[in-house]
Amino acid sequence: MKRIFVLMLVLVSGLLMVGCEESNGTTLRTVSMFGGTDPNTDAYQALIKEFENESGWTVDDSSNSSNEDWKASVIADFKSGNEPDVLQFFTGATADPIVSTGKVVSIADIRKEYPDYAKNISPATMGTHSVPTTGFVEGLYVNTTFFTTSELQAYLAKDNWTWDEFLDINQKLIAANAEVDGFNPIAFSATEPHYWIEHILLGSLGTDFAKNMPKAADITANHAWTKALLLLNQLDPYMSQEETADAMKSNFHATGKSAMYLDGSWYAGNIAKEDQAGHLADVDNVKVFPFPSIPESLGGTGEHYLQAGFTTGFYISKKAWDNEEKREMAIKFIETMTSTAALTEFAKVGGVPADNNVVIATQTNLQKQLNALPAKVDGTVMPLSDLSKAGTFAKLVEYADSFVKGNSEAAVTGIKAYLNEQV
Amino acid sequence: MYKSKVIPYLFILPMFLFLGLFLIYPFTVNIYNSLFKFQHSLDPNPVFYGLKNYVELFKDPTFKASFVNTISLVLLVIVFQTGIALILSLLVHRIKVFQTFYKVSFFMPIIISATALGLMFNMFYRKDGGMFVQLLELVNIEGFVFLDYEKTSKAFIFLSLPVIWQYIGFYFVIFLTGLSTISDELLEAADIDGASSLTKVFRIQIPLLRNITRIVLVLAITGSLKVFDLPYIMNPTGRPNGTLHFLGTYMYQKSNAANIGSAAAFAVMLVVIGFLMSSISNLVFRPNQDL
Repeated sequence: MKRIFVLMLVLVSGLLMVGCEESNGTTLRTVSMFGGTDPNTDAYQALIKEFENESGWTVDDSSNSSNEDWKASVIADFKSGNEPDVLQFFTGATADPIVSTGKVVSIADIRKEYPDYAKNISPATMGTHSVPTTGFVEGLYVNTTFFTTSELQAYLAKDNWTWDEFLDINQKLIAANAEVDGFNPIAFSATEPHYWIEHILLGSLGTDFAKNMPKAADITANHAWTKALLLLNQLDPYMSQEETADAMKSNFHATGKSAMYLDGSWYAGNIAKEDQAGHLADVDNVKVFPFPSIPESLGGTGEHYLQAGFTTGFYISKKAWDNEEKREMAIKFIETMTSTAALTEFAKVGGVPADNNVVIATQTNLQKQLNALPAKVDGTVMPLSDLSKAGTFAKLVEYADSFVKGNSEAAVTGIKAYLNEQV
Repeated sequence: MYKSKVIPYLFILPMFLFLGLFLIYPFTVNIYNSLFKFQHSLDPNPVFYGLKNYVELFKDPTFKASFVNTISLVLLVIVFQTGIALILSLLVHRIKVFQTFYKVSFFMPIIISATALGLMFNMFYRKDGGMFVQLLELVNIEGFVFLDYEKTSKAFIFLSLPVIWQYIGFYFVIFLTGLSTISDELLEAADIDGASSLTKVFRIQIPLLRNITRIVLVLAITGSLKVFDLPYIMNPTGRPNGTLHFLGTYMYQKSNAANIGSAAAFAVMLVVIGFLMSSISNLVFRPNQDL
């Protein structure tokens, strides 16, 4: 009995030792949103390998596609003391928990020690605590292969559309593509309706709407916010209503079942580079348009707006900064990730590089479309999700079904619940 | 050593310390946090809010919906999950041939990960080409939508189905074990007295399973109160408009929001609800010392 006990004790101790990683002072822990299905993943991983080969250090990277859960898990890691050494994350209100509490180091403090830190980055795009890689624009991706009639093609020749024109396009698309099995003009999923919610509010209320949020008590069925969001009901007959975000995106870039999809410039990386047959999307047959303008008759401003900005960047955690060896590694890692060569790779996927020295030898038709978007609108603003209190935008997203189905009572409840959390 | 009164306490001390560190301490901090309002999860200076987090929770329509959905699930679980498990155990107990095959088959769903199960049922329910839809089309039932978010009661039933189905096997095994402890002599004596099979089931086997049934019900109730994985995979946002959230999934969403005091209050409420329901179950099915 005693021998069995001793044997078990030895086995358990051995297992515990196997489970323990060797503590290695030359390992840098990094987290970014260049993971999962993000189109920047390949470029990011290649840069990590390059950094490891040149420095001899090891990078322990835990990256994932970003969504509300991922954002919350990053903040939770900081709360529990498990923060990474280098973090590539959002700026603005989303990062407020880690910036306002001093969990990440400011650019000003970094440059006191390292005056040349990220000096290639354009000062206009530099954050207070983070170094950006690429900026983004958000627009309506349009698969032109579905625009088969002369009337639809006339719409393609325009720079932007009004809301009434957009509705007309949807009706004509359905008529022109009746033979396409499972066709819906707009790829949409109520599980990821973020861009539609943000753009319909922006288009209706103008660029200052997020700075002047109403009080929850003021929201009624006739309030401007309610009317704006319920405009999505006019698109209900044209939306694909997929159960998951992946199915929604596939409808546009993979299976040729939808003609239009609203997303950011990073999405361009999902679209095929080579010519595709039939209605399948590729970089040559896809155009990008600004979100349609909402007329004054529907409570809008009649102008076109763009959601754009440099809303992500690389941070150094205070924890890493206070460790001399990790500080050195973190600085070199971020400079590798934000060098002119690196930003050239990221910009090839999509987005506006934060470094003015970046030259992309051959831009695809799609990249040119995206870069030309700012010239086609009357104003630019950061997304509502970045301007909302951290973790609260999900509340508005939760009520997407009510906006799309025209349920004004539920819409009022949802808007009130969201605004209550902004206080 | 066996006469010493100190040594037993020394043996339980490690586990007590573990429980203290990972259960009692966090729970106490959670209760404390529920009395404050946070501006974000790392807020170093939360404002004292008293019981307002709890009041706001009770006024929150999504919380009310998630509570009703969870209680409805508990009722479905009591009737169908434990009911079907009991019926299957009674049937399997009677057969001699292929008994092991049935035991293994009914137990299989337990070992499938809830994530895989949720993804599987999402594919089964798909409007275009889902397996269940295709099966219905074989019998000329076209256009049936399983997760129809415009008819929330219908969507609720089909969201609950995999949750109920997954654990039938677990309780089936517990009931089967309970049945095997019932003396064959009792059943033989009943045979001699001319009792029918149904009479033996209702007058002998089920009454003698009272204590087992109590344990199964407590497990089923507490398990369904904290259900999270399957509903989250299948409907993470509680569509439509959060009305199909369960307490577990809504609490998870609250934990991602800025005011974690509200999420803390939610967690406390969940414990209180669980405790109340377990107590009610124990009261209704008082253990019978004679069995």
